[in-house]
Amino acid sequence: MTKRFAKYWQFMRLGYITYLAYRFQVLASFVSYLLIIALNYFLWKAVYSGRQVIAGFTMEQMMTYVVIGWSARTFFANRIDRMIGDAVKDGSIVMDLLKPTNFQLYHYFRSFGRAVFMFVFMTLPIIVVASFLFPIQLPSGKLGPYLFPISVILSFFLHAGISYLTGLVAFFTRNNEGVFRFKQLLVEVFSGVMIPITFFPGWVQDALFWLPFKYIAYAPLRIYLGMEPLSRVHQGVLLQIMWIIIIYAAGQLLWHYGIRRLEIQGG
Amino acid sequence: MSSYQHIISSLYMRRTLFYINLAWANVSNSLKSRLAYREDFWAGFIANFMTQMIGVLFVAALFGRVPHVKGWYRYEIFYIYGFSQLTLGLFFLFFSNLFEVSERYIVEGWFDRVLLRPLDSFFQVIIERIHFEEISNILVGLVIMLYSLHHLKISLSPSQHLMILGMALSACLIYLGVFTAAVSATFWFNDRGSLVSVLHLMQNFSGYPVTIYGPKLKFILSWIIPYAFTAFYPAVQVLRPSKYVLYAWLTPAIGLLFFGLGMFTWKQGVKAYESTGS
Repeated sequence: MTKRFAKYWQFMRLGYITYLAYRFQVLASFVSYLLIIALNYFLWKAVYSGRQVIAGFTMEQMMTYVVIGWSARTFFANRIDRMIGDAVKDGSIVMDLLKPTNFQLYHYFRSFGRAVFMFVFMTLPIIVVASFLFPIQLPSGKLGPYLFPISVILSFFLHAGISYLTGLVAFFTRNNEGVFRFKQLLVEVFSGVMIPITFFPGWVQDALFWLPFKYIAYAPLRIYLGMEPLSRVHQGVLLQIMWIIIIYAAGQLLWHYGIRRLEIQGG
Repeated sequence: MSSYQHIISSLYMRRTLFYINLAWANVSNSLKSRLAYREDFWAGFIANFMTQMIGVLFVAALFGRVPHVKGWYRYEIFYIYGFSQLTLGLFFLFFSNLFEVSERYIVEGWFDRVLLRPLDSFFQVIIERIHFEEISNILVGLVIMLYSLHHLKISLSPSQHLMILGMALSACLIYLGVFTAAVSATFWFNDRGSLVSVLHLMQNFSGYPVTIYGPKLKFILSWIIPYAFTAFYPAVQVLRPSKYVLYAWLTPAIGLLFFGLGMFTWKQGVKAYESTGS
């Protein structure tokens, strides 16, 4: 058991170390993220001009929502789909298949190493800088400060699962760029990073109730803002865990089906 | 016209025709090669269309809860958004290979191959790929524009249709110029396109009325990175003809200016290009 864990610890380290080599790029995307936050901030400020509450969010809550949401995204984002896509394209997936590991957990933990790196060099610095530039509230409620970090870590594993499923599309079609872009926007919009779920028309909200996306950002952010009563907070975290398990299982299933379909074109 | 000038001009004609023929041959070839993998082709098409739909849903939700934002009514905002999707679709349909330049052509050294041929290097890079999936962007943009105009009870005269087409093409030139300049930066700095990604991000905010952002951001989006001319100013011309007239008619000029700037940077960049030697 310890041996098995040691293996995934090494994958995590690998993911972390890989990004140390890209420090310049991380700095560049630090600037990009600040820009996204600023532009979103001004866009939302305009939408709120002359109004106090829209779709259950006050202007102050919304400003915090935008800044914390995009900052959290730097942590829970991953490149698993693109990594699998590239590995299929250049044939290096053969090497991955030879490794005596669980392919899915390998990607989860390697990306978690990246997420740890991002947390230290992106998420925290962005929150610090943004808190000087924009008026943001501290986590409110009794549980916000404790449960929010736990919830965002769960978001990472949930999003990792969705990216993994998307990455496996590369086993079935060669033209996966469009699918990856679709998934990216799907997650950005329906997770609630770009817009709180309550802004959508009723039928969309109903549909999202049955889908995992809103547990990536919307649910943790409501915990942060102290908008949920205690019972709903627990429920939200439990639903996150449930979705992580469901998507993990779906990933295992799709893998066993997809591996038979996989064609590797000689490089 | 002296016969000397006549020969020169007919040479230019032949050169231009030659390039048009090449471009056409390339479009039909790349369509054929894409259709060879029919399932993949449609997978890409459907994915692109669904991505569009999510974008539309986002904009509808963002502005759906309020009747107007700083004086801009919902359907006016939708029209501007539709126009921005139309121009983005046109741009990415023909010029998406531009975004492969940093990684593939410069860092990996594919550009050597381009320089070996006796053809314009920019032309070669551009025609290498036609991104057919973007046709759905163009269609979705047009549908949103028509839908908004219907709600706004605005009907267009034939000359206005022509004007919109001209404005969309000018807007395309702005994008082309801005991104060519940004991509050309890789000839000097080995940065793999972080400047490009910042410009991409800002593009997402060009489909709304720029006046809602406040004066500073409006200035930047008008005069430094002129994205306001790719959707807002030309679209307003139809919505509120008396407003920003001058700005709308500046669009083609800004398009030509930035296109020229992009070409200039490209030419200088090619001169500075050093092969990776791989």
